[in-house]
Amino acid sequence: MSIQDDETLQMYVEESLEHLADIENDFLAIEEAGANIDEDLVNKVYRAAHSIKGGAGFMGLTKIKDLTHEMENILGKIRSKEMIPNPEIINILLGASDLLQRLINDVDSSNDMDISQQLDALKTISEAPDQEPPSIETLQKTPEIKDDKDMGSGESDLLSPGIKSLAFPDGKFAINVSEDLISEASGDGKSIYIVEIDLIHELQAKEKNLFAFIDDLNNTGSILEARIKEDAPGNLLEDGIPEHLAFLILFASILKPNDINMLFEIDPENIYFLMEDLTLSNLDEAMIEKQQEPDEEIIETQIQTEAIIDQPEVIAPQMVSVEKDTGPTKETSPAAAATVESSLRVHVRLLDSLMNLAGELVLSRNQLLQAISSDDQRVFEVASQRIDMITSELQEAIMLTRMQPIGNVFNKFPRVVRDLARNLGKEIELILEGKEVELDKTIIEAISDPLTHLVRNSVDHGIEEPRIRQKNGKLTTGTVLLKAYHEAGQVIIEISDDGNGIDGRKLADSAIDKGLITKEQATNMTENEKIQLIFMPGFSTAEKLTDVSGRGVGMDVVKTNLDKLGGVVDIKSQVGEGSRFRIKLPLTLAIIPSQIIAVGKERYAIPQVNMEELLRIPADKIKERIEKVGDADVVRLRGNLLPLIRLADVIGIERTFMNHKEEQEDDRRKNIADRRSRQNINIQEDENQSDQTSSLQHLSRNPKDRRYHAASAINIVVVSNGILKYGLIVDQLLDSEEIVVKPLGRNLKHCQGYAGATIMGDGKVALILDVPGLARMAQLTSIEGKSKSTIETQGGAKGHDDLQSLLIFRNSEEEQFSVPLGLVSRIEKIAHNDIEELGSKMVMKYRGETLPLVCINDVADVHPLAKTESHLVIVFNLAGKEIGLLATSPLDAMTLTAKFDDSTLKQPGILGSAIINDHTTLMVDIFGLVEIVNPDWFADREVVKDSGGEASSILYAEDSTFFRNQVKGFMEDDGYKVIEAEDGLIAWDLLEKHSDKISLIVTDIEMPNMDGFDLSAKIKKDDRFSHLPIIALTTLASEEDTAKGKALGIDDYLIKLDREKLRDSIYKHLQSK
Amino acid sequence: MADQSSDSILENRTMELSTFYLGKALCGMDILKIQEINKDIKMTEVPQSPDYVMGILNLRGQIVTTIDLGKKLGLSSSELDDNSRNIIVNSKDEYIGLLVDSIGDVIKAEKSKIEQAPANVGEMQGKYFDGVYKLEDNLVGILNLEEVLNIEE
Repeated sequence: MSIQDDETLQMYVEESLEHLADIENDFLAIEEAGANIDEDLVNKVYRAAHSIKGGAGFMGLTKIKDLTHEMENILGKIRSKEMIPNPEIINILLGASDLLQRLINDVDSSNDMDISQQLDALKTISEAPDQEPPSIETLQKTPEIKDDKDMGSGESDLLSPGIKSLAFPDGKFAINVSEDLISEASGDGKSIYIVEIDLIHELQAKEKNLFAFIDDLNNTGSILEARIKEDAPGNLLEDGIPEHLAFLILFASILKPNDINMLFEIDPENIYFLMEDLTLSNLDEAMIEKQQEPDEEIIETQIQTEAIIDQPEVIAPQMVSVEKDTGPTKETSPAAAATVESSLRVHVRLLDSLMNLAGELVLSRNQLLQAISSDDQRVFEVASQRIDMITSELQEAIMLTRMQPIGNVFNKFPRVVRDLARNLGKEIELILEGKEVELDKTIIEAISDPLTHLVRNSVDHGIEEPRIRQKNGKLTTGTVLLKAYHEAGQVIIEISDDGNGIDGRKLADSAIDKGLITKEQATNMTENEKIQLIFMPGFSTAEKLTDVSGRGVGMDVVKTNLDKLGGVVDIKSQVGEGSRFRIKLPLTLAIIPSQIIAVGKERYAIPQVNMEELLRIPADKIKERIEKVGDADVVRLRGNLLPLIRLADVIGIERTFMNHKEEQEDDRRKNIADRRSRQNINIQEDENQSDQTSSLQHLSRNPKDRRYHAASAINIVVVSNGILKYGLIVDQLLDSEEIVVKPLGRNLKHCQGYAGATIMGDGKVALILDVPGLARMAQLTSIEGKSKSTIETQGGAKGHDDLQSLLIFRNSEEEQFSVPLGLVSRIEKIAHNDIEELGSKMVMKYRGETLPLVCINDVADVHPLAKTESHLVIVFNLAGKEIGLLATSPLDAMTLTAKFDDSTLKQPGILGSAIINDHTTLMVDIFGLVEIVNPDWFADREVVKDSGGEASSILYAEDSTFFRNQVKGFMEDDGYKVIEAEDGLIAWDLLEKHSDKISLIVTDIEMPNMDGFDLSAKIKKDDRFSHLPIIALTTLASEEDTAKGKALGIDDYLIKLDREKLRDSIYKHLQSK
Repeated sequence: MADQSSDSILENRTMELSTFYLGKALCGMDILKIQEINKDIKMTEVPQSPDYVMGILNLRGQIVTTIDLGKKLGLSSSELDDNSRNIIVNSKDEYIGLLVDSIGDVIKAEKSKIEQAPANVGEMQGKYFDGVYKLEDNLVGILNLEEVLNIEE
C-alpha cells in the first residue's frame, strides 16, 4: 500500500488548514499579551506550525517546510522569552501564515511558489543580532528546539550523541537506538512507535510478503531500528518451527496514533508509542493523549463526551472525531476554516439519532407495505402518520448535520479589523457576540464575503480617526459589534459601529450626481430611504477611494449576494452616532416555506422570505385600486402606490386570467390603463357614477371581454427584497408549502427569473421564482415610492419637464382650476353666510380682521362660482396683505408634470391651461386677479437703473415656454429688460456675450443640458460674474434644495409664479448691488 | 435486444449502441452513457428557456431538464406521441433527458468499423457526431453527447 497518495495529501491539507484556522487569532492574542506571554498559547501555535512542518517534510513540500521552519524558529524564541512579540513581529508572522494558507490551499503547486520575501522577513527577525543564543537548559527540555537550532543555524552536536535504551511500559528492555535518530524524527513532526510484529502469524499467516511490508513501511515513514525479539515465547534458538517470531521495529512516521494501525493491522496492544520523555506507552493511551495535544480546544469537549471516547471504534475514523456538542459551545467551535471545505464534522450523537430514525423509517415502510397488501385502512393510516412524523424528524436531524456555528466566519474578523485599523491609523475594538449561532453550511460559506465587506465598510467609513473622535467627544477607540442571534425562525446578524453614521443627504446627492435618481425622487425620499441608496448598483459611498473600499466591489454586491441567499439587509444610521446593518437570513436554503401560485398552465413557488402579503382585488374594485402611472401599473395599497408586475409578461407567457375556463386575454392591461384619470376622492358619488358608465362602455365596446365578471378578480402577491417592494399579478393563489429547493440544470442557467425548482406533492415540478431577479427583468430597479408623487416622478419625469405642486379646485362645478401650491398660505372652509358684500367687494370676518375675497369670475370670463352652502377660501399673502379666493370642492393637491398652454385659454386672471386628470385645468393668475380687483395694492416700484442709466437687464434661464413667458412678463411689466435662455448652457453663452449689460440672473433649477445648480456654480466660480446676484426659481422649494443652492452661492430661492416676491427680490438685489 | 453477456475478448473491440430515431434519421449512442429510457413526457414548461428545452420533470426526486433532441440538432421539433421516448443521460453530474421520436434496437458495433462522421449527417451537423456506423440496410450516426449538451455561450 502506498501512502503518498491523494488521500494522505488530502488529510494533511485538511489537518493543516485546521491548524491554520486558529493560528491567526492566536497570533493576535499573543500580540495583545506582549511581553507577558501565555505559554500555553505560544505552545499551541508552535505545535501547529510544527505539525505542518513535519507533514510537509514527509510529503516533500519543501516550501511549506521552509516557511513553517522559520515561523517555528521565531515562535521558539518567543516561547523561551528571548523575543518579545511586538506588532511588527506578529505582522510578519501573520503574513507568513497567510502565505502558508495559500501554499496549503494550492498544495500541488506550492513548491513552485516564490516565498523568498516572507522567508527573508522571518529570517531577519529570527537572526536579529541582539538575540541571545538559546540556553542549553531550554534545549534539553524540548528536543524539538534543539533540532530546530540544528537545522536553522547549522550548529549541531550541542548534545553528545549517545545510544539510548528504550523500555516497554512494563520495564522490559525493548530496543537500543541512537538518540540523534529519534530527535531528528520527532523534529520532523513524526511520531515514533515500536511495533512488535509476529512474522509468522501476522505476516505469513495473512499471506503478506515481508519485502512488500517493509517497502510499505519505508514509504510511510522510516525504520530507525529493528531487531528480532529473542525473549518472546518461542524463539529462533528452539528447534523446529517456532510458534512466534517477534520482530521489533522502531518506526517513525507522520501517521498519528489514531491511524498508525491502518498500516499494520495488528492487535493495537503490540504497538507502542514513544512519548517525548522517551518512555513507551500503549497505543490506546497514546491516542487519547495525542488527541489532546494538537488542539487544546478539543479537550473541553472531550470531557463532555467522555462516554464516546470509551468506545474505541468511534475514535478511529477521522471524520467522526468528537468535536462539538450540539448545545452552545462557548469558544469551542470546530477548527474548520472559513474557506470552502469538502468534509464536515458531525457529532456522533447526531449520527446515532439519524441511524435510529432511518431504522424507524424502515419499520414504517414495512408497516406500510403490509397495510397495502392487506388493504387495511386503519393500519394504513397509522403507518402514514408514523412516516409523516419520522420524515419531519429526519429532516430536522439531517439539517442539524449541516449546521455550523457562525463563529467559523466571525473568527476571521479580529485579523481583518486589526489589519485595517492599522492601515488606516484608527483604534478599533471588535466585539463578537453569538458565535455559537448555527446556520446551514452553505449559508455560512456564502455569508463570509458580504460580512467581510460590511465589516470593512464599518472600519473604513464608519469609525472616524482617533483625532476626530476626540474632537467629537467620543472615546478614541471605536467599537465595531458583530452579533448573531435567532429571531422568529431566522438568524439575524448585526454589524454596528459607533462611528460617524451614514449621511443620507450625501448619499442622495451622490446618487443624483451619478444619475441614479432624479432630484425629485430624492426630495420625496425619507432619510431611511436615502440611506438604502447605498445598495443601488453603481453606487459607491467613498468620497475618496481608499485602499480598503476602492476594490471595485460596491455595497450592491453585498446586496446581490444576500439576495442569492434569500437574505434581507437593512440599515439604520444616525449621523454622528453610528450605523447598524441588519441581515436577516433563513436557517437553511435546502427547505424553504413558500407560497404556491399559478400563472398560465404552470405552478410557481415564491419563497415566503420575500413575501409581504397577498392581495385580492375584487373585479368591481379594480378600476378604483389600479392605476397607471407613466407606462406602469400601480396599485393603491393603504395610501401608498405599489408598482405592479404581471408575472406572465415578465416571463413571457400568454396572459390568462381565471375565468370559468382559462381564457387568453390580449388587451387586458390596456383596459386597466384606459382609465387614466382618477376622480377625486372627495366626490364619492361622481366616482361611482363614472365607474358605472365606464364599465358599461367597456362592456359595450368589447362584449367578449369578461374581465369585469366577478370571477376575474386580480390576485397580487406583494413581494419585497428588503428595498424594493412590488406586486406580482398572478392568476391563482394556491397553498403555502414547505418546498425542497433543487438546482436547475445548465441549460436553464440563463433564465434569471428562477431560483431553482421543486417537486410538488403530485410529482410535478414547479419553478421557484427569484423575486429580485424578476424585478430586474421588469427593469423595476428604482427605489420604492412612498408617495404618489414619487411614483409619478418615476413614471412621468421624461426629459426635464418641471414638476409642479398644484392645488386643484373648482369654481363652478364644471371647470377645474389650479394655482401653484407654494403661493397658498392656507385654506379655510366657510359657510356661505359668512360672506359679506360691501358694494362690489366681498369680504369676510376672519380672526377679528376683514379678509378681502375675490372670485375668479370677478375678472375672468368663466362660469360663476357654484352656489353652495359652504365655500372654500384659498388664502394668499400678496404684497404683505392677505386675500381669499373663493372656490368649491373637490380640492386636491398633486405634484405632476403638466404641459401648460399659455395661448389658447389665456385671458385676464388666467395664465393658461393644462390637462390634468383628463380635465382642462385653468391656471389662475392670482397676481393679475388681485391687481385688477385691487390695483392700488401693488404700488409701482421704481425700476433700478444700470450704470448706463437704462433699465437693468436680467438674464432669465427657463426651459418651459409657459413659465418663461409668464415670468418674463412679470419682469418686463416692472420695466426690466429680459434676456431669455432655454437652458443653462445657452444662459452661459448669453452671459458671456452680454457680460457688460446683465446685472442679475434669474434661473430655473431643473433644465436640460445644464441645470440651475451647475449654472449658478459656474457663474459664482467665474471672477467676471461672481458678483452677479442669482435668484433661483423653483416649483418645489424643499429645504434641502434651498440649502444646496445657498451653498452654491444662490442669493435667493423663490417659488415660481410668486410675482410679488420675485419683484421684491429683484429690487432688493439690484439695489444693494 | 443484444446479448448482454458477450464474450469478454470481444468487449474491448465492440461497443453497444442504443439506437433511436430523430425523424427518419437513425442515431445511436453508447449504451453505457444512458441512465434509463422512459416514457415520461409529463413536463413542466420553463418560460424564457432556450427553445430546444422542452421543460423539466421529476425523475425520482431529481430535476431533469429535458431537451428536444431533434430541435437541438437542427431538425424540426419532435411530435409527442406514444412512440416518443425520453432518454435520460448523466452529464457533468446532472440528469438530462433527450426526447427522441422512437427508440430502436441495441446493436453491437465493432469499434474498428466506426467511420468518421461526415460534415453533416442527414440534416444535422457533423460536429454533433462521433462517427457513423454502417448497418446492412442503414446508417447509424453515433452521437457526441458532450457536444450536444454543450452550452454555447
